[in-house]
Amino acid sequence: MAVTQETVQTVQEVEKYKYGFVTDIDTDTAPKGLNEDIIRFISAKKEEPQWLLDWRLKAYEHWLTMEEPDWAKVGYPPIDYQDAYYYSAPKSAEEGPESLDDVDPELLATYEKLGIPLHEQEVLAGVKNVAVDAVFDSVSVATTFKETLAAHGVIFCSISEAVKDHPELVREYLGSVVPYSDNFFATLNCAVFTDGSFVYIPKGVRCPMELSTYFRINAANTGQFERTLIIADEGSYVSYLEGCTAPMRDENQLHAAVVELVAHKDAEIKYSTVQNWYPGDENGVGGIYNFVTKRGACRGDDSKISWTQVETGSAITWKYPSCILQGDRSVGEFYSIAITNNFQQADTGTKMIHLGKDTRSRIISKGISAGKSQATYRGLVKMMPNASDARNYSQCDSLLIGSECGAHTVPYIESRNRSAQVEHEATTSKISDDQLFYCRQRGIGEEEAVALIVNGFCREVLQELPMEFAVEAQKLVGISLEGSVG
Amino acid sequence: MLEIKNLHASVDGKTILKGLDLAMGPGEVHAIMGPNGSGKSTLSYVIAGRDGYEVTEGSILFNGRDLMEMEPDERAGEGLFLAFQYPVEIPGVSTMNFLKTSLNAIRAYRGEDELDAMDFLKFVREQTATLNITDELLKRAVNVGFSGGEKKRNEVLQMAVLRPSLAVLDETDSGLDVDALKIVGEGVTSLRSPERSMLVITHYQRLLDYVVPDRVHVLADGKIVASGDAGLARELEEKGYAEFSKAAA
Amino acid sequence: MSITSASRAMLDRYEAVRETLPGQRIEWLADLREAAVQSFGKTGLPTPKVEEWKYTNLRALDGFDFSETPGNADAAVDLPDAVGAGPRLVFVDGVFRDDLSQLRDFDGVRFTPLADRLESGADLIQPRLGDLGNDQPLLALNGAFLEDGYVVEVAEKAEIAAPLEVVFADTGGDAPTVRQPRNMIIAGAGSRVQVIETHLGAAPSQQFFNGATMVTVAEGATVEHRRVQRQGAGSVHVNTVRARIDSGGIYDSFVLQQGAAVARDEVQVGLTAGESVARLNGVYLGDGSQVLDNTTVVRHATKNSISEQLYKGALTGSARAVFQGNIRVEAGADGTDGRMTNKTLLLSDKAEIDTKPQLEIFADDVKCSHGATAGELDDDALFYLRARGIPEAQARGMLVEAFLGEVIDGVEEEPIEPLLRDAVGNWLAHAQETDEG
Repeated sequence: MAVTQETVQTVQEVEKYKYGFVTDIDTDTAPKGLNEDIIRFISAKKEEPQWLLDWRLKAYEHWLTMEEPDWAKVGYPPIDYQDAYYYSAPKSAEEGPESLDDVDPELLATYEKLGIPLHEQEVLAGVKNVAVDAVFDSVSVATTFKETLAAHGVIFCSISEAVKDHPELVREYLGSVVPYSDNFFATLNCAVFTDGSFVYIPKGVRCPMELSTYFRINAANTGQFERTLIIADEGSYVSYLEGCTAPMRDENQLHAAVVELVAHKDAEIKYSTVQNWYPGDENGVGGIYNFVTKRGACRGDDSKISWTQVETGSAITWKYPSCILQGDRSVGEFYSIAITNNFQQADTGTKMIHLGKDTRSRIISKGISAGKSQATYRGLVKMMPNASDARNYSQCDSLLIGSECGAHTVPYIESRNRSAQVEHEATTSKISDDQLFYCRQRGIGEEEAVALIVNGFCREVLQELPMEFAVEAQKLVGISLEGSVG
Repeated sequence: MLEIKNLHASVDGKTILKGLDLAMGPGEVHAIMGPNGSGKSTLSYVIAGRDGYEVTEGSILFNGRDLMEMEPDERAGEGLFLAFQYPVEIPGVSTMNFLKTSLNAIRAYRGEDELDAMDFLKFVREQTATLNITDELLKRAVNVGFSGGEKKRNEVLQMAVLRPSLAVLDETDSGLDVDALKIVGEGVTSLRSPERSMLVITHYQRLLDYVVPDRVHVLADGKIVASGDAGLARELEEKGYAEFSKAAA
Repeated sequence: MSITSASRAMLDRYEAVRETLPGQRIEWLADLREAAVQSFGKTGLPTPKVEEWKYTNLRALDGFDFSETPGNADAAVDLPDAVGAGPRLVFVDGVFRDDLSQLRDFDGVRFTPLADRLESGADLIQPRLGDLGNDQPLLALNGAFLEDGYVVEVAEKAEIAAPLEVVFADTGGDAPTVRQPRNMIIAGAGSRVQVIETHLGAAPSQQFFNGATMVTVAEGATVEHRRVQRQGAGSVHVNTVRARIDSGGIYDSFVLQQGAAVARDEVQVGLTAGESVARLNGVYLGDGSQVLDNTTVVRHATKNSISEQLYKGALTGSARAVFQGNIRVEAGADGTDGRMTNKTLLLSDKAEIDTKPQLEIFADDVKCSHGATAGELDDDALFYLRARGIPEAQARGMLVEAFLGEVIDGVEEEPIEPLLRDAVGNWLAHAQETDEG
């Protein structure tokens, strides 16, 4: 409850999108456009082995045969894939700083301004240590607490480093959950991905701190194509956080990431996202196109993958973090808050594919639409013939604020096992005038009252977030809805 | 401290209050009684500033300030409290959280510091004991799944916590059995003080057995048609409203 | 764009039979047919690539040879007893059979074959035929071939006590057949009527039934529309109902889906005026390798309309059921109350359910909800019954009947109720026999 109070204050204090600044920094940028040469350029910049270049080219060739998907409930003018930069890196980061002391002070200042501490002695939110991998446009500029983690055998580095230092792991797992031919945006990512985070938790290790990656798009006209790969070996545990922001710009920028998670026997991965890419202005100009493929495989028995996301940013969100429940008794969870305001569009949800026996999945989705925005929950629950005694429970609630927005629910349920049980519920409602007036009569201002009620509506999801993020997320809920009432 | 002059108000274009006058001093308890449809609830909503209740003529001064110029939450900040006839359910927001958010918002309005968590808890516990409200109930979402009695007790609790200078009790006795009425009535009585005025809006005399009013007004067809001391309430109970309504017409 | 071979066969067949289709002398009808066939030709039959047909594949039709047009105008047929005491129209192999129909006069209703009204009732019929539209391939196909069907026309304020029955029977034969009746239910203001459609077929017959019904419910009228689908095991059955409800009107639909190899019952309701109500209910019983599809689209286009949907089914063998429900609330349709529930019991290892209960909401002052469940019988309930001495098979039967009973309760005390309870009972007995064997 202290947190909610803080929300109320923050709503008053914070301007609309405080992350909208641009960092003025020298960059090394590939020529505009997309072709084989650009892919070779990216691969060469990263000094990649031949197999990876071959994989990228294979994906590119396949991508040329694919059509952009049009089934989502989102609309945008055609994207000119030749009119964007596919590689942009701060010059100072080119050499690969050896330690935090070598990182360009301008970059450190940027992250400081974003509230992301890259100095290890600074502790985020005062709760516990969080290791951070900071990705700036196309490259990782710093990763903290590497040594502390290494002492536990945990590998946490940029994926470019992992390709160099742990090629056997990358080669084994890259593309094993999201294959290169998966879908239009994921295939594009395979061809041109630049950086992202790599995590490996060895057998039996409980990762001693939260790991987090902070993605920042800075350069104009640049797509960000990050690739994240997290492997939790038998009996291990990791909690991973992801945050995103971008400057305010009038043109739309593409962000097409791929995240792959692999949980082996008895392992657990908790993946939390607070997505706050620039959403565009109140007239719908600018903003990030967030077209992301996230998928986790519960490979081993008794493994667990839990996705929690708070989606408040981006002009368009197209994102379905999914779980493939292969191991017997494996568990998949999806907790989501998607808030759209002004002209934002979000088409987001999950897929839970039950393959193993006694597998469990739980979906809690809270969609809030305001302004002229459209929010869609789209999800698939699939019980395969061998998924005996599997269980799914889904709850999808939508809240509308104002009469010009839309809230949609498109669940697909496919069950091929008699002993599997699927249960799906959905509701759509609005904040009632009664609720608002009641709060206001008790002295709570209108926007604060909305934030309070919406936070209540989202409670089941917010409580899934790690403490540090929960505070951040509650603030965002309030800020995202600014100007949605009255 | 409350001065209503020639108040005309309409809802959906229909005039409900037709020239109501009322003056209350600090610490006074006034009762407004009237038949269904006389405008009792409209008066409470107009005082609290609910949307859709349009004041077409007249004024309401609260401690010398024009209430009409203020938003509902500003009115609460000024010390106005409305105990709702039908308390509203707010799923997912715990009663405790709601109380704290509300109290701190009002304190902030008055330029006072927030209470810290420990002080707040202590403060709330002191209030809950007399009202027979359990900690379990405080954890539950605001009014969700509450019985009629629990909802009304929750209203009185909020009044105790927020310490208003004027409390408007809109049919606080409705839907209560004898035991619940006693708890609520005694709760309200315990909150009487020289700094706190109360406007008790009711159809029946029974709540007034606990909260003995200084003045009783009869509301009929949007106007005060008779005023008197506590004896008037008993007279009403015996004779019914018909006589007074006739007088209004 | 390429079309399926069955689609091509339909177009060829149209060329072959166009001169023999009903209403040759009627110019406006020829124009309607021409527009419809043009429209169909552009898309052909839908394939699973079309989102609305993702789960139901009409490819079985590609194996049908439609080149022959068997004439079965005098075929002998074994008709079931009438459900109620009202009049009954019987169509056998696509031909209206005066000899088998019971046409009784009732005050306030005209109940005739469509063919009787094409010329004399053109004022009523023509605009409504055009209305059904070519926006969906199967409706366009129906419009091109447009065969005889039934027309129910209820006068203002008339309350028709006995149900009006229609039987579409197919006697089967060596060659595949296509039946494409067009029906209309027109209920005048404040009237009340019940229509019971029964679809029957001989077991082995390869029949493609593609029916279309336009329902208009005027102000304050009530139409109860019951459909019993028991077509032959070789058939492909598609039945599309489009209903438009005026203020205070009620369209109450119930479908039992039990027959055919592949069947789709699609109900599209436009709640175009305030206080209008749609109640859509259904029961499906699938076994063997049947595919039974129930699709609904309810559009709340104005303030304060209500829709309620409850579809429940039981599946055994390797049967598959599909439920696609869509509640769409247009901007400004405040006060909408929309509810939709789909529940399926999977009684065998290979049975499958694909369900997609969808909400599209563009107004904020609404109450909409949907729910879906799939699974087998509740173990605790089963155990409780058995602990009271009830044998397992019987206990299962009781639970399945109780499960489906929730929907059948909605037609309680209607003439059709005993038929539905029997259908469930017989289906269960057969399903359990098959399970044991």
